[in-house]
Amino acid sequence: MNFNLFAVSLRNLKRKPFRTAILIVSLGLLVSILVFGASFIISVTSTVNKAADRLGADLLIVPVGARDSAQEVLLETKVASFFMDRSILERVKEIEGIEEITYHTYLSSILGVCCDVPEAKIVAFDQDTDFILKPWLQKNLGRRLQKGEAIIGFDAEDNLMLLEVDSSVLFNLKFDFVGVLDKTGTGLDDAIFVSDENIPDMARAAKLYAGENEISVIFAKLKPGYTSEDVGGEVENQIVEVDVINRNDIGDKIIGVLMDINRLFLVLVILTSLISTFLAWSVFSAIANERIKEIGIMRAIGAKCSHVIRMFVAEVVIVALMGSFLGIFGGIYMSVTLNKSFTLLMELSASLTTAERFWVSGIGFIAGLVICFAGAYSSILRLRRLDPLSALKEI
Amino acid sequence: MALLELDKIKKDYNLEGQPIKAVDNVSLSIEKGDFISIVGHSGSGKTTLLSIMGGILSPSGGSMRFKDTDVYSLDDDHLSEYRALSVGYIFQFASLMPVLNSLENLLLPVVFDPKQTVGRAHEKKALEYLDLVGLSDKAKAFPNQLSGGQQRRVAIARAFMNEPELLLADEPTGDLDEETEAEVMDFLKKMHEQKGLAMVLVTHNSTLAAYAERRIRMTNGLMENLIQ
Repeated sequence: MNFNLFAVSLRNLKRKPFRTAILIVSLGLLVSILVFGASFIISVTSTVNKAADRLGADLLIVPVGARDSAQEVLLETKVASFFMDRSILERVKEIEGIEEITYHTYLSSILGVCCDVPEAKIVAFDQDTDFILKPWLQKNLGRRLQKGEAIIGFDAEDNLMLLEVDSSVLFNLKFDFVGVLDKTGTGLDDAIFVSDENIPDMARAAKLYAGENEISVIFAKLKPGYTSEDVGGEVENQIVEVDVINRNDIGDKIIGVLMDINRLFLVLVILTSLISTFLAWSVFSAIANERIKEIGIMRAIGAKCSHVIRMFVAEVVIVALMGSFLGIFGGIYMSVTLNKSFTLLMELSASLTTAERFWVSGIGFIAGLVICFAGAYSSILRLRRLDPLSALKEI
Repeated sequence: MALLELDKIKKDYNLEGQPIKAVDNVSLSIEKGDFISIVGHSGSGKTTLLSIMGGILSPSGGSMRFKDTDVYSLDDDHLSEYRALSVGYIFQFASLMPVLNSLENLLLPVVFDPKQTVGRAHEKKALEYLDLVGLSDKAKAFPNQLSGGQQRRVAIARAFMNEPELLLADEPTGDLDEETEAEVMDFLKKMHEQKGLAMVLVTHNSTLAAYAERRIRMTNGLMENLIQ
């Protein structure tokens, strides 16, 4: 027979199942809000950070006024086209502190007009200077991308319904898909990549508004010892046709919005924590009150103070564990399903890694325990001080 | 050496500024196998004296030794062990844990014994005690499924679970009918004789007091030996 203090604690909790359930559910709600909020914040910030890291550039140089559009293309799933003259490449190269540059040209496809894919980002890149896709090409393809070949971003396969398709018509030219890129967590996961050797043919075939002398964005790496602020400022001073986005400023617009959401979540979490702590306090106080007589009897027949505390703490831990796990599952479920309801998340390639999910779950778990123990603290102290006769006198 | 030796035990209360001597200089020696009854009116101090013997209530003065150990010089954990292992206590009120069935209520003192873990042998022993008090068919019944008398008998059986050397019974038949009262007293007497344990019975009923070999009267906290 397995009968011990833990069994007594379980029986105690089952004594008033509705009250126990209310406490567990309310704790679960708090933890789920916390997990959802943390998942939201972390997924957005990590997407922005990953995007900046993945691009591997210190400066992004875009046409004047295209700063926001460029970030939307790079971080979000939005499709946009903006162009500047190719000659700007040479002018950027000559600026002190620039070590390496490459460029992208962004073309927008339109289903039934130019292409047989829905509106998608078509990115033309220069294979000679590229440092963004090169590692993948070397590892997976082992050769240069040929004319008439394309590789697709990780999410494009799903989003553009290209799963079963080997080729597609883009700007009236047939392209063979020769590979799917690894997930980057950037907006480029939704793009189709072609070599810039295709641009003249595409422009001719589709009477494309982007000519072969137009590019969308220049990615620049800096020489050691130069800061992106100084060199970026110099680029803007010398080339009035461009705007510069520093590596550290990538996603600053999103981060700004995020900080407001963060503050809102923080207020919500603080308020919910206070309510949950108060609820835990009132429930555990009521539990302690109605047990005084029983605790007196237990002490009189030989229970040590530590037995009583262990029994009560076990109840607190059981409630905390159940509430925390409920909240963690609820929060993860919310963060997965509600992502589709948040424009910001929908447009980002945001999803948490397993490690990040564990980390967020850990925060939720600790929060559940802390709130339960904070609520039960005064009752635990009271039970600690209770001597057998005072307890029996409560009868 | 006496099993329990009370030396000039005092217990003073302060009730609304008035000092009350609940127990006044009581000295008593209880040997192994003694059966003592304490009689007296309500408020005479008999339950207070029994609580002191049971390690539940610290005296204001005097000393109490159990087998040469000064009980009230023990720390809280050791005092709890004294209550768990050396003393069986029967309360004058229903004292079962409502969330536990009869069998589990009997096993509770074993849970508090630091040297034991509840096992099959304890379960068997608990069932035997339930059988002795005539409740073998109520092992799985919860207190709210038992009558007052049945609850009282379960609590009596529980007092024997850790094989105490001293049994303290405070009005053990308080709310029982005459027939059950006699059964319970016969059971206590039998256990006293079989196990050779010392027993102290607090009662206001002189018929019950007559079961004991030695009778003490408490009056206003003072002890008087009636039959030695």
